[in-house]
Amino acid sequence: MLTNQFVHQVQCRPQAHAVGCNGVTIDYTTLYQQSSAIARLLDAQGVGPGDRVAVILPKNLDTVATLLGILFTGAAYVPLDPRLPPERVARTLADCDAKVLVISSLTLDQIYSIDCSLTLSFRAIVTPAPCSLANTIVHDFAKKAPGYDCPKRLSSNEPAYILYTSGSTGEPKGVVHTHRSAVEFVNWAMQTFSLGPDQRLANHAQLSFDLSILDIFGALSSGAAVELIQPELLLRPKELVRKLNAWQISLLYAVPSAIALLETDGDLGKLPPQSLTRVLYAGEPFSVPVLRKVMQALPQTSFYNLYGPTETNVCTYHPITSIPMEDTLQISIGRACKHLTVELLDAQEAAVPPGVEGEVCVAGPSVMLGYFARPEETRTVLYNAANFPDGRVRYRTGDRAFVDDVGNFWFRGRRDRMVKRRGYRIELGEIESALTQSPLVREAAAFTKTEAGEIQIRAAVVLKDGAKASALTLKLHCGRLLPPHMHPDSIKIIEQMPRTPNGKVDLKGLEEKYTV
Amino acid sequence: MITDSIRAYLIREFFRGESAAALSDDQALVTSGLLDSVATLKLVLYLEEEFKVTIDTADIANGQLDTLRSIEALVLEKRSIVTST
Repeated sequence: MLTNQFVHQVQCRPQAHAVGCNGVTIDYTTLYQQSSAIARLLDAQGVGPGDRVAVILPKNLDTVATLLGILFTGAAYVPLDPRLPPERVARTLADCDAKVLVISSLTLDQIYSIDCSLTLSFRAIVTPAPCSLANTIVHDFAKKAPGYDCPKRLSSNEPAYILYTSGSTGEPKGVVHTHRSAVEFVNWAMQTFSLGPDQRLANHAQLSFDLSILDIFGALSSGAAVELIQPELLLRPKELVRKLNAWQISLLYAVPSAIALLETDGDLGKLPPQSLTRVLYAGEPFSVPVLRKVMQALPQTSFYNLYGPTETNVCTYHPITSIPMEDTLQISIGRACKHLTVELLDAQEAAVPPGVEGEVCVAGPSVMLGYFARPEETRTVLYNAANFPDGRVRYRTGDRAFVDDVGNFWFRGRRDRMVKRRGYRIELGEIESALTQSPLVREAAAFTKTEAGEIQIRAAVVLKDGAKASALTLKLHCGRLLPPHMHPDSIKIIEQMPRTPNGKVDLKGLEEKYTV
Repeated sequence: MITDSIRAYLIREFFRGESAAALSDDQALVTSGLLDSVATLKLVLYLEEEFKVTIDTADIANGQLDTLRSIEALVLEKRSIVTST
């Protein structure tokens, strides 16, 4: 189980720092007791192996205990960003068929306005799903309690967590990872980045984002400490740099845009955290001029480019051994992690030779089990094991890459209309689907444009006959349906959708209309 | 008016082509999804620069940046602290 190594660490170093948040730290024993209390509480609600528990909590000490408590019962946790629009939360809750929802009273009051000062007076409301507020039970998790007996024999193929990502059809889909896939990934991370008791990791990502698996479980499985960075702090880059110093962070794992802010707005060069030995980034390419500045500000720090979709977690990685000097240089995504096989296949499922582009396909123990309750969509991305001599399932990422003569992979883009922004996957089709759900909109097309190194999402909208709407009204409509990272940066209302001769939306024509 | 300056900034920076009337003093900016985290960061930097105030993490967490009206109140409060000390 994913919690086994944590429980082992509780026995080895009961008083060691486990989790910190806002300057308060709890040790392994306290975290274990709190997790056990939550497990018991969930147990009393009938939660066990095969169930799912949704978690919508602000990031704090108790949230980590909640994730562990859920895993203790044998159920899978489904973390949802508290800043998601309520409609999306409701749809995701229905999709994952959660038995129980753990939500703080605070989040419930105002789902995306979180008060930091209340992090220690943790109260959670547990409600049987579907989320019916009439049936909520208020529990106080602050009370200390002894340990919890985990299920004796939980198969390592049982789900441990489900992470929701953007779906092209307009519905988010849940990526299911098992205990085995999570443990294999965590073990790889522990070995590769020498995680251990002397380390302190910063958790930058939301818990609903797969970067958090390395931060939380990498730390707690190896006896290290993890410091939770509050979302508000991310808006104060200078303060964040001071905190990285004060907390003596040794490893920071974040998306490039977030790391870049530390340099551009955070005075990283003036106050480089001396303890910071490793910076890992993933989710999108790092703009080389900015990466160079960050690396120059942190000459003692090792940098790594990690690559992998949520469906496999990290599958290739590249230690950046020298500061890249040419601005146009691309950074390789490196070689396959040793527990995985990464291949480039053509449309006939045959391997392509070095230098030729193919689709990145991944086989091995950290590949997802599938999309929750979506067998059709799962089948389209998991190649049948029977097609390959080694009898292993391949996950087709939809990413294109080539491999060079020495075996390094180079990312070349997508096969489809998925884009990545600030590390988040965005299906443009999902944005179009959200826009056309407005009673005012007849047709919508979304596309991207890169401006000053940042991907901008643009949408063009044709209104229904007689309908009146401003771009702002449509932005507010998106705000109700889509998570913040998916909102179009600009929306333009046009008279007619430009089309190619075969009837498809003419994206080139759209861009021209946009510049007018 | 502080709200007018901020409104003009927001329209210039994030809502090009919108009329000032479309962005009322009580329109939710962050919780409605109009401003994402990067836009909020830019807004904070603008407020600090333009009004010579320091916005704290707690102000952001308390939701004080959510409407033009609450931002104005925050700026006035910060300024009074600066002038009284």
